[in-house]
Amino acid sequence: MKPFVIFIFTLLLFSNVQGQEVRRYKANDVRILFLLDVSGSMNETWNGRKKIDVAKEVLRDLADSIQKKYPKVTFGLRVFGADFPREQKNCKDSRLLIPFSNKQSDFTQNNFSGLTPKGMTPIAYSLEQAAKDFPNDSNAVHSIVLITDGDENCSGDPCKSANFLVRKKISFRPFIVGLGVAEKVAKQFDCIGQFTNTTDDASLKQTVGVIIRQTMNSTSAQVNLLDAQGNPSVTNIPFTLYDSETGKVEYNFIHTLNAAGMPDTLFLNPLGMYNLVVHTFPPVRKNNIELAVGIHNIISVDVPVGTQTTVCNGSAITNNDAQVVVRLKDNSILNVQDLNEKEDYLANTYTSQVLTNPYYQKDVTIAPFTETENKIPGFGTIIITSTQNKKATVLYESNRLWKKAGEWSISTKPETIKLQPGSYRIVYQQIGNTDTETCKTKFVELEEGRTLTLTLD
Amino acid sequence: MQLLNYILLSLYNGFRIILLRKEIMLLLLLSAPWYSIAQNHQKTNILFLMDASFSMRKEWDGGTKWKTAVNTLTEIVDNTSQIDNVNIGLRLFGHLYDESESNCKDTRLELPIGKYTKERFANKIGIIRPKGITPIAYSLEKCVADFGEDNNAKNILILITDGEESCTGDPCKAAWMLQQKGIVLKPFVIGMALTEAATKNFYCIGQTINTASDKEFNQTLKNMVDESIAKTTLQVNLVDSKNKATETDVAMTLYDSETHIAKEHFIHTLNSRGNPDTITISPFFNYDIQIHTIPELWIKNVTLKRNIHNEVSVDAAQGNLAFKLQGVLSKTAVVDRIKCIIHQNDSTATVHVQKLNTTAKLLTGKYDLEILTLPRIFINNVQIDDDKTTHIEIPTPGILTMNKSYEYYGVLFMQEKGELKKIYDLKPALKQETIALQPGKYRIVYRAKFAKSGHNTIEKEFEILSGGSISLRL
Repeated sequence: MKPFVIFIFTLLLFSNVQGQEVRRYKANDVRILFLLDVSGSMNETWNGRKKIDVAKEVLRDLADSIQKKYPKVTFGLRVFGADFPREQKNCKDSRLLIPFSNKQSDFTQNNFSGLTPKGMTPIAYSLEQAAKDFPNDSNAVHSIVLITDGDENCSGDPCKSANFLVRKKISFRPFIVGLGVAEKVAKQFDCIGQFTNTTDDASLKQTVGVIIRQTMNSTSAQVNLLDAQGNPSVTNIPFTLYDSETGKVEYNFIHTLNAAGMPDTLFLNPLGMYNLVVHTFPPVRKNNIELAVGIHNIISVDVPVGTQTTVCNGSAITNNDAQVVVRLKDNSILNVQDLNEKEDYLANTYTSQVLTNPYYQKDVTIAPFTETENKIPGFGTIIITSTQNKKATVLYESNRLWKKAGEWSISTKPETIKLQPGSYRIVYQQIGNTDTETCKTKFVELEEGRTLTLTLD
Repeated sequence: MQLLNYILLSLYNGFRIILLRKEIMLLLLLSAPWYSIAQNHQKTNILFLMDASFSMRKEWDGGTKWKTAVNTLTEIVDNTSQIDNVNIGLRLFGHLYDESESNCKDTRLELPIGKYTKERFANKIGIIRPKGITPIAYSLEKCVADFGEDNNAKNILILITDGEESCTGDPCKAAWMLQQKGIVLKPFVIGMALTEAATKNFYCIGQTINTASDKEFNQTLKNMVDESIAKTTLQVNLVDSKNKATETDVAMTLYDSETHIAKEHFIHTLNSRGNPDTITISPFFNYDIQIHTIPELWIKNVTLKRNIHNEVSVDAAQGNLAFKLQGVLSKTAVVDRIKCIIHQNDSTATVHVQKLNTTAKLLTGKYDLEILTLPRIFINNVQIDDDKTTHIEIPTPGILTMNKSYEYYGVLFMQEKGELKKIYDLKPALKQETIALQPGKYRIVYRAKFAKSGHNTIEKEFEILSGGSISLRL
């Protein structure tokens, strides 16, 4: 019964497994939500016109022209401070005026012409509410453009709200466009997102236009693995990008240089934040990486790797079962490496244990971009026989102390023992003998590659 | 006792000397007649290096120092001639040239190490007249050649003198050089009415006992010879968890505690009655005994009582650790790589590296295991109990064969706590790679060596079943 089951399993398992290339991210839809300040101060005149009127006109014109040309781009409009007079201090005065839709008529119709500035500036609350305005669509680019002439005047924390939107992949970090905002106030927007101040209707139009186009551009990134000089020359190392919110693996790449010898361009989903793990020994991590929409992003991490090789030369030497155990300071195993095999490690001091008999152990300091080689000699061979059955313990000398290399039962059948070069004592006795003093010792100086044949008398 | 003598001598005064004499008397009473001591397997060579300088003519207890020494030696030669394996030699100094000539090379081996009758010895020494100076250092140097090349022999040097070095040589240095040659095990010095300062000067050579009378000299020297040929035995009890000395069959190394040089190697055995067998051993050293268990055990600074049976005990309860696969795997190349590194619990030192399908004997206790499978298996707090076998069985790995169309950079991952953990780097140069993986789900990520875009990275998932084989075409 059992062998049959195993046979079937084997058949099943020999089939090939399919794989797929890492997908290149390409956005299907672009959604841009305008978040317009309609608080009392927007009534102020700005270069001869009311701020609110300038803003309305700019939005209408841009939305109209872009939607006609690019059907994949849609706009929405959320306003705050529009419904309750400032005296009422209503901090939930925020409403989605125009939801996303493919109807080109939404912004052309004067369906936001009736807006009259009157209320508070609940920016944080409005950003939170904006989360619900976007449909759940991970293949889209979602952007928020906040147009305002002042900062939060409710008790909310706009930075926290903005971070929430990014982490949850709801939208990009908001762009903030200021209408003649004082420098001191402008600074408060730094944590929310990219801030641009404007001085008149022309600069407002240009700024919003640039933001829209940037959002429509594809977002790309490159990962620079930096050497000791800060040059992105390190490559061919695997790395993983995790969604920093969910911990889910988003991308696995083997790092690549393009034809020009520079880190190649990767097209990644620009929404959300990533945790990068570069799979060196030990791994290098960089958390909460955010891509800026519509531009080329450069992610740099220091990867000061050096190589370690434990070299065992010699003709008759096949130490193929002697692995090299590389340990961290806490003695935990970082890697197990083969002899004569080059392996990269982050520059540091490790303990290297070569599992020959007897084993070698030493601290190895690996410097960045340096090849560190440890040489170990190849083994020698002792072939032991005896006409009678003997028990033998092989001891080796280490700093004048004798350590056990192993115990063997010896008979007429030759026992082949492979040992590293060194001084050995073979202490042996006939099996069944009750007199300790009949114990004998043979002295052996074993050299690399040599074979000694011993008969225990 | 020896230590006591040292202390007493360093506090040298009349009262103490009386005490010392009592000690020696007591010892002589306790031991059997000194010449009838059980014979040893080992050959013992005793070389007397005796002072024949002019001052030995000095009157002592009604006779002369020279006469006392000659009489005692003759007696010793007579008695030891009946004992197999005991050889005697005699080197004199200060007997060839007059004191006035100040000859600093005045020494000669008068009787090479061998067997002599009382008569032959008496004839040889009877014609010698002490007359010269005291070139101790030079004479010590010459002693090296007097002992043969027999590595198994126990070589004893006994320096008999009544005075200090009279040449420019340094006896301490000469003695040190003797030790370096590895020939002389331990020299003794017996003084004849030395000053306190002179006595101390000989400490560097070896155990030094000064004597104050003819009778004391006679007994002390006999006692030294007695020590040299006495049968001192040692029994090492390797005690199990029931406090019985049943553990055995393990190699032991005995080191000289002072020099840390290994003196003897044995395999511990039980005698026909099931007790730890007795080893005859030189009593001149303090020993550090190393038992080659896993991990090894040490009994440090063991002082032996001369001429009697000594016992030392150490807890050495052991059990077995059997390390194997749950199933069968025929690929020996793979099996050889799966080793188990054993640490004592809470220690970083490796005590043993155990191969798959073997059993190791370990001291009882808790161990942490690192098993070099892919991925590695860590098992902590493995309990080894006395006379029991703890079985560690790991799932049989499956075999993954990767056939590559090109050269690839790649990596094998496994999911651990939601993260990808690298467990293996592909070897770009190999067209085919075969590795053993523990049962589980894996992800392979690779990219052709010549590719110029990271988007050419390919990712596959697969599952390894215990004992199964899987082939991947990359």
